[in-house]
Amino acid sequence: MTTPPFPSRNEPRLSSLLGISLAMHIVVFVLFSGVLFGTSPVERRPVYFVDLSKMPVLNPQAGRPDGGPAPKAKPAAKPKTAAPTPQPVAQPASKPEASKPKPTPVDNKPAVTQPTPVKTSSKPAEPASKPAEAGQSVQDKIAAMRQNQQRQQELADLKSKIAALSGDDTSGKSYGSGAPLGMPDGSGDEIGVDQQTWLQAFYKENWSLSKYQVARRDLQATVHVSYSADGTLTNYRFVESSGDANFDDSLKKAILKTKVLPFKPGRTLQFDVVFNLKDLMD
Amino acid sequence: MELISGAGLVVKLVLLILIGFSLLSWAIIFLKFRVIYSAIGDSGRFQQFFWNKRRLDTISKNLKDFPHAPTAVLFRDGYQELMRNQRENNGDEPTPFSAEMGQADNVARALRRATNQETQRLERYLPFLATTGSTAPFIGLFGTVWGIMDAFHGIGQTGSASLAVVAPGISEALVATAIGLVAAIPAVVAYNHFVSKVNVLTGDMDSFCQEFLNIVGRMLRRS
Repeated sequence: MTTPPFPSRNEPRLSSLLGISLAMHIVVFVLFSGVLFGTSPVERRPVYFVDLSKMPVLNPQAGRPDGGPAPKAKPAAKPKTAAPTPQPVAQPASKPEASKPKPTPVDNKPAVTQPTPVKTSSKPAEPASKPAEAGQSVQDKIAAMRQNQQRQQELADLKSKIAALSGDDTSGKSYGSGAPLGMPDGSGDEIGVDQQTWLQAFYKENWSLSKYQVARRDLQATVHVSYSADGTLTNYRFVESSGDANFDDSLKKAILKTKVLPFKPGRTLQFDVVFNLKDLMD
Repeated sequence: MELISGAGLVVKLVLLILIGFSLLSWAIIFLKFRVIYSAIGDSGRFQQFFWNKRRLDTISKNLKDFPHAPTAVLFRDGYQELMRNQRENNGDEPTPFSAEMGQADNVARALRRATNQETQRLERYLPFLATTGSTAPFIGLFGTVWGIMDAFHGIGQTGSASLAVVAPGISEALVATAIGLVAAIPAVVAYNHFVSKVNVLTGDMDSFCQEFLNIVGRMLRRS
């Protein structure tokens, strides 16, 4: 009689299972952190700050939603750009020119012409304009330099405006302070903001939601709203729900807070409003 | 992710410890799942085989078919002890069913030793799950308390106590408790589950020991 064989056990080792455990933790981490699927892309829309005390208009003109009145805008912008030009430009321009005229007046009036350009360096135009015989070339040079400086100044001004318009900051604060009241894409002739933009700002004003009420920060929902011509809310429906009940409830409350608008649109208003939690938090 | 990266050094250290606990406890959960469930499966099949085949020598030749059954190990050790006594008594080739009554005590001791060994094997690493289940929430709580202390210290220095100032620090601190619970809950659930399964297997082994000793006793009395 032989002894019974030892049962051959092939039990897994803890170290190999530690690897599986690590892989599982990494997968869970990746799933929850959103690295793999990513957080759902939130549509970043330009944010306009609208003064709700001013009523919206049907055909807004081009301008800024919170800008000043149209006629004041452009004159206010120009003096600002023109003012700094003489100060930095005049001094370097006059000094090289002042040193050049030195030898030329020596031939004609050495006693009178010499002190004036040297001492009064802040006013380079006077010595250049006075002596017609001082040489047409100097006057021409000065005029050309002024033109050049003016162009550079205008160019710098335009660059700063372009930078302000194309910047990431869509808050509207980077525009010039004297921009006309209207909409960036406005093509009408009325001073005021677009009705839809005004309502977006109006809803945002009425909308309240704590970030602790929702689990995610990337929520977004689209609601289709309809108003009659006298400004009464006739219908609203969710075109795209966020999937979060608290978030959607807060939108309903924001819309239903004011069933009659404080202005009369003059026509039936129907449009989609995008509610973005990130915008609210910002 | 932002909550973790924004947490303080002590909170991060606590999180690291808790992740270590979680990693190891899940590895143990996987290990015990395989060991215990294969033991339960093989044990059931072996007992069925044992009661179908009445001859001990036939059973002993087929033990390799039940590698994970604790009762098969008990049978092997008991049978080996029985055969050893037979050889000592006869001096030559042992005959399976002729032994004296005193041999039953030796077999009983062999079975008890095998039962202890198998129980230890089945219960190995389970205390770590119990430790994780009981300490991880406290370790997490420690991280939270430390984080809140830090947050309040910061609030005291800034002099502002608005929700916007208080909330981020507290939420960062609470991550430690959350991770502690995430580590502890599966560990506690798995521990209770595995302990109940081990108890079932231990009961099976005790019953098998009694049955096997009865069979050996009957055989010895007959011979």
